[in-house]
Amino acid sequence: MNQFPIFVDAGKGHVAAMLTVPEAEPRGLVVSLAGTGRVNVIGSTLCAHLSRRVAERGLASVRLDYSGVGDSPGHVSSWTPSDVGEAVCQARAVLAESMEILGVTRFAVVGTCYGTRVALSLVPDRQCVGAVCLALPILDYGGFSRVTRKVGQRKAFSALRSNPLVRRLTNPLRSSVRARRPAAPVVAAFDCLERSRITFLYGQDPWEDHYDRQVQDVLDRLLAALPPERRGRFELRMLPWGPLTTFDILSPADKEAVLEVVVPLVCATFEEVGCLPAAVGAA
Amino acid sequence: MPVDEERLTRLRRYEDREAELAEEFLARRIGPWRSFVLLTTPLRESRAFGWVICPSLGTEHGNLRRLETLIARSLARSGFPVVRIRPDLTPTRGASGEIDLSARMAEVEEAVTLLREEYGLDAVGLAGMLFGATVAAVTAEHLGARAIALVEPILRGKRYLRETVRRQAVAELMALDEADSGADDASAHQPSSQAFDEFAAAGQIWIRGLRLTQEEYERIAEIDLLEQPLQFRESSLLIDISPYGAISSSATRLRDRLLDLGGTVHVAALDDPLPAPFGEYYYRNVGAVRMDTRLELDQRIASVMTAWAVDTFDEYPRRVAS
Repeated sequence: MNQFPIFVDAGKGHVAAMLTVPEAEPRGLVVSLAGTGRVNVIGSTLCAHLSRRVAERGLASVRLDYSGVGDSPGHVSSWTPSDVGEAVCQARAVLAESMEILGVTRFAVVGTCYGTRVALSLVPDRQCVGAVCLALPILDYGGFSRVTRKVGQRKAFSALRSNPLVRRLTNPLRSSVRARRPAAPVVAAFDCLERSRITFLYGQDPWEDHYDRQVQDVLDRLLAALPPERRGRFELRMLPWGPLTTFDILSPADKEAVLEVVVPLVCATFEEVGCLPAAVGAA
Repeated sequence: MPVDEERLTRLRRYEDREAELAEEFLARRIGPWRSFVLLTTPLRESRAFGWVICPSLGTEHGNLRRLETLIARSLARSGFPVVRIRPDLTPTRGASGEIDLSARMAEVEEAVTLLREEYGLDAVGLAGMLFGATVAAVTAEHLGARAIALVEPILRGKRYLRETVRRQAVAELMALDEADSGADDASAHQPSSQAFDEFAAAGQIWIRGLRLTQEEYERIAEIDLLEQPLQFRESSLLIDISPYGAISSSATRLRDRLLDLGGTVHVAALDDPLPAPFGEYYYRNVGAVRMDTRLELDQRIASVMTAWAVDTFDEYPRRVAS
């Protein structure tokens, strides 16, 4: 395989990305999207591991540093999974550039935590064949939380809100006033199940991978509303390793085990394309 | 359809007209594990003085990448070309990256040679954070560096290893704690002792996802900036960070050591509450928002380093880049 570090113009600035290309002509592209955690290399450790594994299976891949992270210039002082607009623009720019360079017409997305929201935002693209999401935050906070989040970006309020005493007093109130609902990219991605395969992966309890009873209930309701053939292209899998959000510091054996799950799932999205009804690859 | 290699080559570089700088992933790769090289250069007027930023060794390097970027861009805006070293962690040797002092030192040496021979720079300085700073201090004389800029340098390799293993133990303890909230004090020490048992048995341990071999462990443990023979007599900047902006005893000792060697030393004490230790994961969750607690400090470090470099090396004026 060959690795090509590049800078891609994402409109409001350039982002650093790493394109990994197999020796043979690639049969598709995997876009790896990191969370906002540790960024030892462009993208993340998981993205780097994945790039080699999928290259061995004839797939190219691309990973990036979001603006303000790692080698990408810019300043971002806070991140929230309910606001991935800028990151989606950056990922789209990197995706478009990579597809043109490689001459491929199909892509799959893999994301972790924050990156899963970016990943799912790309699924409605007709060229996307599927998504594998690790530790996806499925639910969004309601209007009250959005207001406090905006105010919370101010230093004084942030300090007050992070005070343990204040948090203890306000926690009961918070849980009662914040309405939690499935995030828009999750709902939109489920609408694409007729032509894409989507998998959600979480570390089993006790790992804090954004999965709990409330998430399970919401997910069950979403799935119940889907026709059976679409539901069949969705899978939720709980893994005995975790937290998946901190893949980089898992033991070598656990990393290997996680990759043994993720890589076949990613490859399967490409292999099933021919069987699916929609004209995948059409612009 | 073949890969468009010409386009790939073009995309290695971009120009930031507003900041008047260019950044480029060089085609050349350096060191035993073929690390990537990222060069930041002024667009118009460049000095004949370049900087190499020495990467730290462990997982902290990931948390320092953004700071390296800010420093490189800040120095380049003031006319200094800057090289950053980007180890390739794509696992070609097993499942993970490594804590590899030998490789990092070889990369720094090659990066200095590259700036001198391929970019014709008269003088080179070495900058680094934590153990990257230590590498800069240890290699400066041998590489003929004109300056070192050190942010929170680690004085003793043994201390670095102890801290690194302790943090591994804390990470393991947190994992245990999630699995069983009844961990007691005795079990708090178990993971690190397990790690050392593993070290003795296998000749390697895993520190937060990175492999550390016995050989590299011993090489790092030998380093002591206060005791080992150093001959660096040029200009040094020490950046010391604490909640109150006071100069720490370790910075004072290193300053005295560098002065004894006959160099000039400037110490900059920066105050910052350091919600997370310098080099550690710096985001903090506040409700649904993940706040960056390090951005302002990183920007200040870059400004202080650049201001010092401009003041100290005014004998290398900006010249129109060829």
